[in-house]
Amino acid sequence: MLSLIDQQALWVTVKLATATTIILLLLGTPLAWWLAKFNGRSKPFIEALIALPLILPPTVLGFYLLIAFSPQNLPGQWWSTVSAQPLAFSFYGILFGSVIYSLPFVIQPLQNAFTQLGTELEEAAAVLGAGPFDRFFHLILPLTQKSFITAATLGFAHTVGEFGVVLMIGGNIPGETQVLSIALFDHVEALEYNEAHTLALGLVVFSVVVLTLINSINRKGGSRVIG
Amino acid sequence: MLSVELLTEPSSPTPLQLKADIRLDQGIVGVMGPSGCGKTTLLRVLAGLETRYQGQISLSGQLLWSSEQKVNCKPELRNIGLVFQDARLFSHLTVAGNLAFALKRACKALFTIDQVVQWFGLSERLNSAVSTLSGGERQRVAVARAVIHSPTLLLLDEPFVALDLPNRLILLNSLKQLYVDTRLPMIFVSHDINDIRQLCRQLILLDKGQINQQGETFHLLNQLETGLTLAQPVAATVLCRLTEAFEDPPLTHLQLGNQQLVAAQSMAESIGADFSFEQSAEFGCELGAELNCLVNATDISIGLSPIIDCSMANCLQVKVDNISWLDQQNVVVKLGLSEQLLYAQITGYSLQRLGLKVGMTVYALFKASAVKVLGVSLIK
Repeated sequence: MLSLIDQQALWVTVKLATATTIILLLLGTPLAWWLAKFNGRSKPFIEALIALPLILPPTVLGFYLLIAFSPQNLPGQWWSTVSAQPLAFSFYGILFGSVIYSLPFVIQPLQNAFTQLGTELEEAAAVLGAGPFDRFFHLILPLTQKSFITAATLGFAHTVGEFGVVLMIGGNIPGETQVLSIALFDHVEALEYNEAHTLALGLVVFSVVVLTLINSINRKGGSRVIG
Repeated sequence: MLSVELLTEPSSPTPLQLKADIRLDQGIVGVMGPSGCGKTTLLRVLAGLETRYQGQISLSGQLLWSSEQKVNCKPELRNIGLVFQDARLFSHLTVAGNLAFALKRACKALFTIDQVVQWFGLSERLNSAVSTLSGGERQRVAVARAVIHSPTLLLLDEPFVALDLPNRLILLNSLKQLYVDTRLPMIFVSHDINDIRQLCRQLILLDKGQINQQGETFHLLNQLETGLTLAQPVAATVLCRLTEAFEDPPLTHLQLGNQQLVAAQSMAESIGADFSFEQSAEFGCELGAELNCLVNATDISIGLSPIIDCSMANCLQVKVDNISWLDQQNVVVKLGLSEQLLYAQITGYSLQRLGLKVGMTVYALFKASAVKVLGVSLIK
């Protein structure tokens, strides 16, 4: 049975992963669409920026975000003015960090799907009287729904597994910024191996289920995307 | 009336430089030309999918696009249908779903699903998934989908290009039936003279992005220069009236002006269906119907007197209209009869031996098997 602190960490994790996934789908879809259609000279650079969290140590990203979120700098200042709360060491701080950190996991499946779809079907729908939004919701979305499910699942799962960025930006405040991976770290440091096992095993099972789900979804569509 | 004026810009995908007023109320308009001459691009510009040009387009007095006046009516608002070479069906929908997609977005629905299904023979495939359709069926669904959207103008970009002969004939006859029933304005792009001959009353010949010739299909294709320009075998299409038809042996009797013509071909072969005079009206092939018939120049011989006691079943009295050298050995003789034309390709030796001169009355001799009945004419 989970302790109260672990239950709070579970709730913060689920809340963080859900909010991050929703924000990433809302932001990532137009961004992935634009990247799929855009062929300018700056495209490789923009793609590299988005993919940066894939190779950058999370602590590096966390460090720069922590500096950006401080009240002395513009993003942190702006947030403090709008919400009268500091951005660093708050739930909204780790939410911002998670959105940036998990961005490539949502953008890339969507961008690939939009690129593969091409413009042919869109053109066919346009000459049948479908406007841009109509085409997106009644043609593009149904045809790329598997990629949306993959993107959402990857974004959610990656946020659940976050450690470095959350620790750097949010610290370790139970009920506010302490997520499961940090709670697990706390248990290990306190030599509470039974509690650590429970959380670690839970995360392993969750990861296996997520990967199995993604591969099942993509099985019909072709090759496996991960795992 | 469709008015088009286009000038190429540096970013244009294909060079196009043309100015044309196209009447859409006088039959299907054909567009022909060699590969890369801009046929597909022209249709894409008309549909609003391509705007990297200078110029303007107006349809029935309504300005759809003008680079100068910065007017650009979006493709979804133009109400111009476009059937692509590849069917581009929506794979997440069934056949009925594809038709419903177009019907739902029609400005003013002129046709019902039942009508369109009947024209294109899709009744048994309505609930089928798109992935289960054959190439011919896919293309029929694509045309049906464009038609049910009730466009003011339907653009067809080589819809037969990937089809085998039986499917080609089915779609061809569906289009003919559609035009006869609705008079829907259409522009039909093809590189195949036979398809153009059967469907189009007006013809635009494109070459290197420019209009080479524009006019009545019948006259344009019967000009020798056209045949040579398009690197097709020299041939003539004549309009003949159907007088009798037999299945076994396959034989079709025709009348060309006041002369008789025989084709060793059944009507079933011509129109791609089990033909009988009981059901002839269904195919528009009742007695007296005007049919397009094709005769190649190499199949016609010329005699100075009528020869009826030989195996060649056709002997038509004609007049020499023109003689032109095809190469160093061969000449093409243009033969006029009843305001129509035939071509005979003979050697220079035969020309000298017969002493042929323009204005002479001679006889065109050819076998019944040399007459290819293409189908019911929409031209006149």
